[in-house]
Amino acid sequence: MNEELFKNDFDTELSPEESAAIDRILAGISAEDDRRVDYDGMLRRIKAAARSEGIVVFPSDRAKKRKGLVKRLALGAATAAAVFVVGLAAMLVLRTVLDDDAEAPVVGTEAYFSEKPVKDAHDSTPVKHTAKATSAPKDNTKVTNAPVEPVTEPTSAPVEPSLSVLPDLSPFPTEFPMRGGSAGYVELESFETAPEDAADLVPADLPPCMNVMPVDDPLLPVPNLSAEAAGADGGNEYTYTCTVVSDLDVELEVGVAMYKYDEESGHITYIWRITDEAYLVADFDGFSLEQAQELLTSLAEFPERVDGYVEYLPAA
Amino acid sequence: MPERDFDSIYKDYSRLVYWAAYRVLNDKEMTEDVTQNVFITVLKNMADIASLPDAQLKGWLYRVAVNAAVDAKRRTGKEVLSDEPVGAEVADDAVSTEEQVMKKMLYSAVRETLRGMEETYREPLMMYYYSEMSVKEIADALDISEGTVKSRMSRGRKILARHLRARGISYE
Repeated sequence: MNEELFKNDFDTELSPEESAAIDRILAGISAEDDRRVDYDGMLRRIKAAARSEGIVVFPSDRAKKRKGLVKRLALGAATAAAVFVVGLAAMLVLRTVLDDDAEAPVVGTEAYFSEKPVKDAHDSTPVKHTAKATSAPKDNTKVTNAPVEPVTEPTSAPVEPSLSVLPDLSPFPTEFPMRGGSAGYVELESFETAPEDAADLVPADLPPCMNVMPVDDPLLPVPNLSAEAAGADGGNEYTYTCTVVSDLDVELEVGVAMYKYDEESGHITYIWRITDEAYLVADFDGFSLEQAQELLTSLAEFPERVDGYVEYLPAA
Repeated sequence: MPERDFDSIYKDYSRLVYWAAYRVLNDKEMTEDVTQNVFITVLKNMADIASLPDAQLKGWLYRVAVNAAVDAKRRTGKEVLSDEPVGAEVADDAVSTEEQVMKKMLYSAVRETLRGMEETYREPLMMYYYSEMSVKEIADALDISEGTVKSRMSRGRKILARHLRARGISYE
């Protein structure tokens, strides 16, 4: 290369046309060079590496949805608590009304549970109460021993606090409807031991069109097992990635998976606690939720699988 | 300010990071490694990064990418002089073979000139055209005035024009 050409000899100016032409060339060449960069491949490798380090990466827009899910849970719990408090307050108000109406002195615990109001409240099951002190609420300080006619017809809700049911907040099985998809928890299986071979992360029943690449990178921290598969059949494109990670900051019972399904993109993500210390993170495209779940569940049977049962092909 | 998720940060800034690293390394594989490491750093710091203003995030990513590339280059001690920045040429069916050959010659000459260009002029050109940074963003990242950025870019274009003329390659 002629070094003279690089010298700072700027005595001649480029015409506007020349300058514009150079500008177009640089814009064109940079765009062409950039088109050949495999950004999608890098993104997949970034996510795989992140998972091996215990970082959960939710695909596009999932972070917001995840926040939405947490908000829904919080809102549900708050609503349940509010219903409970309102029910409790109503019950106390009713008791007060009953007591005030009777204008009776506070002498004991029996009167509140006298036959009449209880019978009104339980028309179908009249019960003769011979209530004792032990059956009364411990915090009931305003009570009377005289039979009373309630001003307000007692309803089942305030009379029986147990009817103010708190929703089941246990982690599964629960599905949370989301706009354009769903998310929730599902009980799958637990593993006797965490997989030790990347091949064990490949379900046997993947569509035949999918090329499979088990990845076991010795440079990554243990466990770092990962498998990828991709393929197309007709108009349907399938992808599957699965990684085993440890020390994930996700609260799940062993054997339970958390999933998210994006109806718009068809993308499904599972985070599945397979042992006390290992989680399996799997992403699916092109599969239904049921198919994805079946493929995942089949992984739990890996100790019984026969060598060579799955044919591994080089990744496309 | 809306918080970003990782995918949107990657979508918006992967090009910036990749070409910032490539400018230092001139090597596709090393550049990919550095890009991946930069975005893993992003993932680890999402809580702090997600709400950064765009300009601040862009500047931060550029600096991290360049520093990581310089580190990678120092570790390997490898000076790479690859002829093409990435992958194989992709034929454009809409253009005739002759035009494709001319275009290939032109682009090859431009790439070669860019590689041999003094960093003072190459850097703002790469930042502007490859990393898609504005003149102001380049000025902020390099801590120089916008006038200086424009002047350096103009000189870089002149160097390119002179090289192409010397090779008898038409660029107008």
